[in-house]
Amino acid sequence: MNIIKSEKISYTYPTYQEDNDEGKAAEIKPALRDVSFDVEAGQFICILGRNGSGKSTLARHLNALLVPNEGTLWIDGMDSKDASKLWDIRGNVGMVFQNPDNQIIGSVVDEDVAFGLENIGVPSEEIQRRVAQSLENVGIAKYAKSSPNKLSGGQKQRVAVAGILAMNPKCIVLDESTAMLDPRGREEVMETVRKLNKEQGITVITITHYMDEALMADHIFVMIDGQIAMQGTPGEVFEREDILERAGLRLPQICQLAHELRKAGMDIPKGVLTADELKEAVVKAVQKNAD
Amino acid sequence: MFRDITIGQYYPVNSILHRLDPRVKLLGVVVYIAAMFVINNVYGLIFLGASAIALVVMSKVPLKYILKGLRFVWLLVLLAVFFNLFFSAGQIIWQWWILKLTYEGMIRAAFFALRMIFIIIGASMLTYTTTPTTLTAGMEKAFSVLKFIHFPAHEMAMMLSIALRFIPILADEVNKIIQAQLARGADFDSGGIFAKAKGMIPVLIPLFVSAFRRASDLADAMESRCYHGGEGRTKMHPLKYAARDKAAYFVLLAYVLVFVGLRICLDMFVTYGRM
Amino acid sequence: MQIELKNVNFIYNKDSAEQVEALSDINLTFGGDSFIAIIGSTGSGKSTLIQLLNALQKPTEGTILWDGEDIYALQDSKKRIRLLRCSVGMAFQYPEHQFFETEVLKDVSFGPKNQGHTKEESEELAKKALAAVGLGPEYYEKSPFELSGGELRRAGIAGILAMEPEILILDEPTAGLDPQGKTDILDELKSIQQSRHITVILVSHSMEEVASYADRVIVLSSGHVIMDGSTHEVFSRYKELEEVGLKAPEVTYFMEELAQAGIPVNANAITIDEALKQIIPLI
Repeated sequence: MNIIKSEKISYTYPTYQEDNDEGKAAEIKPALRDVSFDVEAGQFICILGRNGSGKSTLARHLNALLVPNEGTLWIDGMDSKDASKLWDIRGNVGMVFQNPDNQIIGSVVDEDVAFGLENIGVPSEEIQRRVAQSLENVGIAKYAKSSPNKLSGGQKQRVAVAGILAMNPKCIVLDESTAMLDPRGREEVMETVRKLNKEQGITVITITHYMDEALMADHIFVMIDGQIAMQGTPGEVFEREDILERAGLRLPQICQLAHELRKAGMDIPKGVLTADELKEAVVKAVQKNAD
Repeated sequence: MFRDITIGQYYPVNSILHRLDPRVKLLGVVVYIAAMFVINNVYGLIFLGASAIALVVMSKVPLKYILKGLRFVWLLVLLAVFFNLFFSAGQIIWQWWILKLTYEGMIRAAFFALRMIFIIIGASMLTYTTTPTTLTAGMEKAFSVLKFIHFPAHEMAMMLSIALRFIPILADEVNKIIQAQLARGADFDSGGIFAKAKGMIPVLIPLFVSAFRRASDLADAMESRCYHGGEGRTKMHPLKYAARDKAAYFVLLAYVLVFVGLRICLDMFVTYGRM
Repeated sequence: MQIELKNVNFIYNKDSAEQVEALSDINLTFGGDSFIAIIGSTGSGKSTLIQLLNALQKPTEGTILWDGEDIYALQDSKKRIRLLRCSVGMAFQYPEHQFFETEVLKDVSFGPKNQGHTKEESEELAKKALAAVGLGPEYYEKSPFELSGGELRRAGIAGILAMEPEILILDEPTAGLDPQGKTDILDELKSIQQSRHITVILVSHSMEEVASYADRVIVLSSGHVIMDGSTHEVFSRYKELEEVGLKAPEVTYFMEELAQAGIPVNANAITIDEALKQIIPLI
């Protein structure tokens, strides 16, 4: 089943126009243009693109923080424009934002995790149970009573994930949630959401600049200027160096090496993603050459 | 620099005061401060001093920690003492320029200083023994009795708890911005007061911008976690009165009776004594 | 400009319960025409180290010599420290967060003005700095709010560059940028370093960045310098790097695996280009 179905959605940020001297309206570029895509429940999706390509705007549509100007976005069968479904949508699609400090509301870790549940009026005992369970699931149970200020960036982001997880969501959206973290924090967060995706079947949509995170995905969308320029499996996407170049992206090192070797005339099959695959191909090619 | 401020910071030990419901403690502070203003004689002051000491002992917060916290209000107390000491009318003991030391002034100054210190100690017991979260929950609940005049108890409590969460973050941010501007050769030390005030602009503007950015991020985060005001909200740990809280209310009531009694008795004593 | 650290220790909150030893027994020399990277996991003392270099922090023990002079021992040390901060420029993380003027050019000329340059000279220096990071005249009068993330970052760095530092320190200058933005900034820094013959000190978490741009790498772990050498030397000891929570670039591991599979290459390649130079002759 499709958890998200987007039918030609467009969005332009409202601007508060001041009268400028020449009396001409400044050109306003839409942030999203005719974006259509589907996400199946349980998928691990990655959205790539440069700053300002519309990734974050798209992310904000996924839990109805923004609603499209044109087109329709279906989230778990609900139209995101339907105001009566707003809390259902937001309970089903959780968002982890970029800055770990700016999304923690509680002064104590477990209080923060409880925030969403308190908002939707869950009974106290149920809240306590679900908070404990989610903290356990993201591996920060021992910090339940700590102040968020004492945690590392990776731990703070896992607190945010726990807060969403407690709501029993169908989908988690990570909007550049690893951008401000060190490599260890990034690994912690990605490992956590990957586990949730595999073990609990939660759909994960991650927006990132890190190509190695994209390699984990089942499916990648590449955005250029508010449109989806390309989509496919990592193997398919990382073959299209031309489009990636236009999107301001870089290949992961192994893919880049594979490309260069192929250009140099080596027989490297398409869709090589991992070091092992490339090693095999190189060994085969070298041996063939020796024969 | 903000790290040193111990006044009002929760001190994690397990004492009877820590376990009390925040609403009881809030009312307690109100009663205690009211008592300070009602009482106007030495016996009352001794009584209040004794209750401040009793509170400190019950709280199990080390006296050293409390005195360290007082460091930051010493100046305020000294200033008040100074004005009372040298600017009171009465029997002049010593005079220099416009400063007059009077007998009445000495009594007033001593009275004032003790009163202020007791108030500060008494009120800070609230925050030493209550976590910010519990405190805001208590306030929300306590003030929700004012719902009928549309008092925004939930909103106020939410703002307070967000402020408490972000104060250390913004304090940190101030440090970072100061360092960044120092690295660009900014001079915060030299010049007169106007030059110094102007020198703060490169710190204040980035701080405001950052605070707004954080506020906008936080609003998004709260909304996406289904926040829609206090309507229909539940609590993970709702406040419930225990037997000790009810007992504490009785103690408070007794306390009010005692100090009202003290005041009335003494007033009467003074009035009839003169007759 | 040369900076020499001799037996430097740094302790936060000395003599209190929260005493933390951030750096111990640091002996390092910075200077010359070089691109230096400092790596280490979070909490290894990187930030403290770079703050010592431009006198934002004073060492608890040991001496720091700037061109042979111990500034803290001088009579007019306060004034000298301010001047020093101009010749040892420091771009903090997210330098765009320090903007306070309404126009980019004005903000970038804040540093030179503090150095004592006239308004005209300052703007000239600011223009030069903006050009060096690829921002032309069309940006001068823009409000910082109109710039994109990458442009803002570059303008932030220009704010330091405008003071014409002889040593330029950057704390994770590419954090949060998209891949194209990262490459642009690092390319610009490399070319500034080479054309102005200055020292660039880069703090980074990306081993790939370090491998492609740095000539020398300093590795910190729990407040100690555990390695200091050429980029190749340091990454060839990737097993030791792993012990302190770091690693070599992906391509180094790949070459190691190839070598183990019997292909005649060695694992000292740290960039794609170096790897290609080894593999291509085999076919």
